[in-house]
Amino acid sequence: MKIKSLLTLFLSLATLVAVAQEGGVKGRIVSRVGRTAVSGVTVTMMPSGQQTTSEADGTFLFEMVPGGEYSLQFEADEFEPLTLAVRVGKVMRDLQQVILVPAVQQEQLDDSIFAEFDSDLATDANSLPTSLSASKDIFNNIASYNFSEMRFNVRGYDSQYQDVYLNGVRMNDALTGYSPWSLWSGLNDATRNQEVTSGLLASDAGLGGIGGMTNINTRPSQMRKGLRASLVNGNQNYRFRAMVTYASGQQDNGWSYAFSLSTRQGGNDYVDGVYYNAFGYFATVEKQFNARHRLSFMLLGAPTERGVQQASVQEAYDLVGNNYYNPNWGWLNGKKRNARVRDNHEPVVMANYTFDISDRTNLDVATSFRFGRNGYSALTWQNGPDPRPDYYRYLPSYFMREGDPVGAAWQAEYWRGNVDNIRYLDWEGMYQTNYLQTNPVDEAEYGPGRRSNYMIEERHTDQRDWNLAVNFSHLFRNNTKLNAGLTMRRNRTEYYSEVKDLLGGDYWADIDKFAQRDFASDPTLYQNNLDYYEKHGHAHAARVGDKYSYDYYAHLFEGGAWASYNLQWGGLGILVGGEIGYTQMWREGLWRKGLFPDNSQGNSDKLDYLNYKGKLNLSYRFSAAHSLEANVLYMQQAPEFRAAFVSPRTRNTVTPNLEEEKVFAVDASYNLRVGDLKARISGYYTTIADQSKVLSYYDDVASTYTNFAMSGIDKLHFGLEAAAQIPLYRGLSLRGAISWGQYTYSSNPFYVQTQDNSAEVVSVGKVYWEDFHVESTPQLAASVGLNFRSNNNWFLSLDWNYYDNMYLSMSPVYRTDAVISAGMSDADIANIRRQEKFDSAYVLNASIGKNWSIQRKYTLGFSLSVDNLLNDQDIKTGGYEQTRLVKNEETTVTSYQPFDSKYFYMFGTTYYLNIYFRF
Amino acid sequence: MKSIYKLLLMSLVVAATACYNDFDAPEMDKPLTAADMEAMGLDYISIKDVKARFWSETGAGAGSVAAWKVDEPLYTRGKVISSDRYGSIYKTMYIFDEESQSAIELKVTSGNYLYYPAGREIFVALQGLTLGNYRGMVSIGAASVNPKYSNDNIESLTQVNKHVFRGEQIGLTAADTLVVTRNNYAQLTEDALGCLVRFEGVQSVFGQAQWGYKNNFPNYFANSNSYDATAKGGVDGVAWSELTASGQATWALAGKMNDDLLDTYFYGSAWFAYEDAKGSAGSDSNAAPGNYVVRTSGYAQFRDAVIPTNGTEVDLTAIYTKYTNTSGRYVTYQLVLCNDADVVVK
Repeated sequence: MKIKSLLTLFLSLATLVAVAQEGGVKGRIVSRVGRTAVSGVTVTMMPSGQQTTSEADGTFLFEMVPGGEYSLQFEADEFEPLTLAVRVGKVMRDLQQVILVPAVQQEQLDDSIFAEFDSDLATDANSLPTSLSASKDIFNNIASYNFSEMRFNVRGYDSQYQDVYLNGVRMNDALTGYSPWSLWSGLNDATRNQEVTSGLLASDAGLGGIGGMTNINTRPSQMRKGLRASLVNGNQNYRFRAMVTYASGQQDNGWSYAFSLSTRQGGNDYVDGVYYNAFGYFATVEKQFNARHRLSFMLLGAPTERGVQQASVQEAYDLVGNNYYNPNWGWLNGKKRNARVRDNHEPVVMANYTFDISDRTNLDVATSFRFGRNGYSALTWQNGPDPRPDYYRYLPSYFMREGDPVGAAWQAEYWRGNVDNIRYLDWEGMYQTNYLQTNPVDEAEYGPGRRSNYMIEERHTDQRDWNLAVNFSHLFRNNTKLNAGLTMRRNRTEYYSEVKDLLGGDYWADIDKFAQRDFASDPTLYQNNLDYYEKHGHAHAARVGDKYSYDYYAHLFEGGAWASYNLQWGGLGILVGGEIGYTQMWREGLWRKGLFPDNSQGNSDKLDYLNYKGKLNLSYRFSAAHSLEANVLYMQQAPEFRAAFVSPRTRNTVTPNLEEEKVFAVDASYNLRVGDLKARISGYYTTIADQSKVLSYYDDVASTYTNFAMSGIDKLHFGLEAAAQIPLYRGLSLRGAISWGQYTYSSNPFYVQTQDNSAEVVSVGKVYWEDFHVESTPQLAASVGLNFRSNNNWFLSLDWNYYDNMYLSMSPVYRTDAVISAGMSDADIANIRRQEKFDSAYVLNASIGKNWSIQRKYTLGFSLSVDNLLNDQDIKTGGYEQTRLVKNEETTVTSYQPFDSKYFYMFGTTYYLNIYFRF
Repeated sequence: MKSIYKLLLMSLVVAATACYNDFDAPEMDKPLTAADMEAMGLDYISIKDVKARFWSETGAGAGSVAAWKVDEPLYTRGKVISSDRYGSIYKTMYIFDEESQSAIELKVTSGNYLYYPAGREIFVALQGLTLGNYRGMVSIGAASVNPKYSNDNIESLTQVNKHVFRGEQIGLTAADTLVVTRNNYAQLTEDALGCLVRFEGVQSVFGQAQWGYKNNFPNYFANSNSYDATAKGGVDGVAWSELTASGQATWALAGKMNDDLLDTYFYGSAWFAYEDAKGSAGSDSNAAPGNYVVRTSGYAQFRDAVIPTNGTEVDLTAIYTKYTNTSGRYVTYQLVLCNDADVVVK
């Protein structure tokens, strides 16, 4: 009886509840990062205006909602607002998980802010400094934004140690490890959703290395709905930028899409010949099939053409009267023509599939394909004097060294007055010379036409990079978490050079000019493509668009599996992770080089490496305000492809003593958070061992073009980082950050120097640079700034940045025994080996901005930043020592003196004005 | 799905790549004429007169260091008769004036065959340039700061362009080459220095010369190592058989000496003479007429080509030069080959 009545009661209650549940919306709001619940989110239902706030477990509920179409708006501090279109019927609509994306604090940095560093050791890949993304971490936030003007590398690491992911796929360059920002350069709005972890912390997308991780999320369902348009005018990198982005937000039918277009055009106020002619496009579409399955496709590309600046010697800068002289360009028919132009178009297509197996279990499968072309042009010549205007023989110092002060004085006058355009490339002269090249000897061999002596070549690294990443995560009942993943990568990159512009000629005879000088008696020895020669009886007469000089593939295959287990025990958090992987790389030559007919065409030895990684993240939360972290990592990874081959343009020979690179790192941090006061202090210690590097250059001691292969390069990085944000009064706060580090080479690497056109060993030995400093990044960087945010959306900031302990990139050649001649005293030897340290510098930057809300729907705003207010034009930001030496043969024993070093300088005052509109 | 994206991509790519900055090629320069030189306010002086003026201005002997810096508005004219394309000539060129049957050396920068091809008429504005003497050969160049040398190369192309102007491409004709035979070699005078001369029927001679330093030929010498290959071989002194890969004498040598890792470049000296002159002892330590030394740089592309063997008769076309010691004695007449194809075996 009792049971029956209880049942009836129960049933009637149930019915009541069911009636009460009629017509409503509910859901559970979680963060994209770790799927943790987000409480205190304001949820507004439009057009009725009903509002509620999410509970501690992230749930929210709207009841008694009449049927119809509604728009739910989710807003929370530190998260990007989200709008969902919802149709409410007669039953409670359960949205399940509503995912909010952490907000990006400030304007995305454009990779173009880093001026291209062109060097004589023309490597085709360009490494950008680390930390291009703003993150929530107080130190990284200040450092990446403020210190980027000095090409600061966080903890002194190269960008290969910073992992950059796009929708769960690691996009670092397969062959160099460099960060791939140039792939989506200019698509700032499309790539704004980022999760950034710093230092040694692991993330959900992967274990990461030592330089932190950035995972860019371009899923349209998680993009802020609406249109954003912006116009930029500036004078630092480009004149003009326009960008428009539209995201549909998640539609009720489960579809969402987004697209973005941008362009950057023009040059800057300081360096001539540098310009941007760049576009960006982005399109993505996603379908949510049901609560559990989502599939999206994405396409992006950034076709970019940009002129590059070359560093020059201080002597040239002084003669010209400013530190921004660029020797890469010259006048042609009244226009500036730059010999070194980058021309890339490398689109990425990607598919992402997400399966929310349960509330606690998640599977992501991503696959991407990157393809396209990447070219870097250069002026090349067969014979005749060096056409570059700042070649050492055209500078007054050369005349002085030759004992001709009168000639030196005249030369200085020509430079100061730019007599006959002595400062620039003589394009006209090169055309006229090419017009003259009709010679019966050449005609007999190559047919009629002008044989170009000068031309513009374009060196290509065209990649085909396919990636697969499978990520799995499971949150256990006891709140411990397992993340695991599988990755696979296959890359084939074609390296070749092509004829871009024959400068008035009709063809380029494809022969190796150095080999012709040394082995002229046997024409097969100076052929670059022996198969062509054997078929036609002469070298290829290359025309515009033809490949010439070299053509080979770099092959890479990588596979890996990783897992991390995360547990929380009271205030203590422990993450243990491990990764194991395999890398195989090899070179496949497409042409048979005359000098190395048996070792150039076909596959090289296949190099296999075992990679592994072990990581431990410990954190202890004393309270909401204080926490401690300590992390340890050990990893072993394959050497990069570029260092694996002694002269990949000519032969399959592998670098001797090539080893896997080993990294050991440990760091500890203390975090403080009290209201709006945030602070962090960290210490770190990292050792990197067994790196390899190959340089190719013309060696004056050996009088021939050589390859210099180093192995056993060890580095030690340790230091402190500290940052704080202290609210002062109302919207005014004080922000500061300091990075003090010591980054040094901790060994004397071993080197083998071989003659490029014979593979004969020219010299072996050690490079004596132990205890010298790792180059370029300032090892001491500090910033103090005031920041003001008003209630009506004004913001102002003023920052004072200080830099010290910056060292010039060293030429290993100067630190070998080969340049030491008998009779040099210890002081002389120390002098030739010492490393240059730059002067300390300080810079003042300011910015101002405001945005207006129009009709509660539209936002219009502007931001203006002015950098280097003090207009200091004497701050060196980088540079390099040359590899060449002055030979003094007049003395009884030949002695050597290094060439002058080349430098890059920071621009004077620049501005960047951004006007944006969104709804 | 993928193909749609590819199509979209393709159209975007097409649109994007059409944006390269195109540059128009400039008009080809017109060749200069004598009238253009006169319009610059310059007076003509023939090569023969230039050389004569040099000797009278300096009053120097053949071996001494002597320079004449030209400070008058003069220009001279000649046709380029040499080519440095094959590496045996470096940073220099020779021009010939048919009218005065005289030639002179012009010390400029490298790659001259590109800018001043053989057969092209050249005008040289002399004001500001320095004429100098080196061991008997007069050349036009720039002032030298080294007291050991009379003049120096005009190092930069910009400077060269201020003084050297291109005229018509006439081409080399028979009139540009002097012809010497076994009958008239004794009439070859110093006026022919710098000219292109074809020695017909001259013989390759291997052995010890009876004139001058009484060297063995062929021999090889490298300034950088002060290494004289002839000394190595003993009395007969022909060490080249140990040094060349083929065991035959070549025009010049490059090779690794001792345990050096790097190549040393040796210039080669080969003796050619007319049959009736080769045994002569000459006079006053000078080479006897009819005896010539073909000197080839170690950097010549044809250095590995074989010298015609002892006794072979050839027609040899080369630039005729002179070389003395610092007192003007031990005169030898050296021949500079532009290319080994200029040696034709009869």
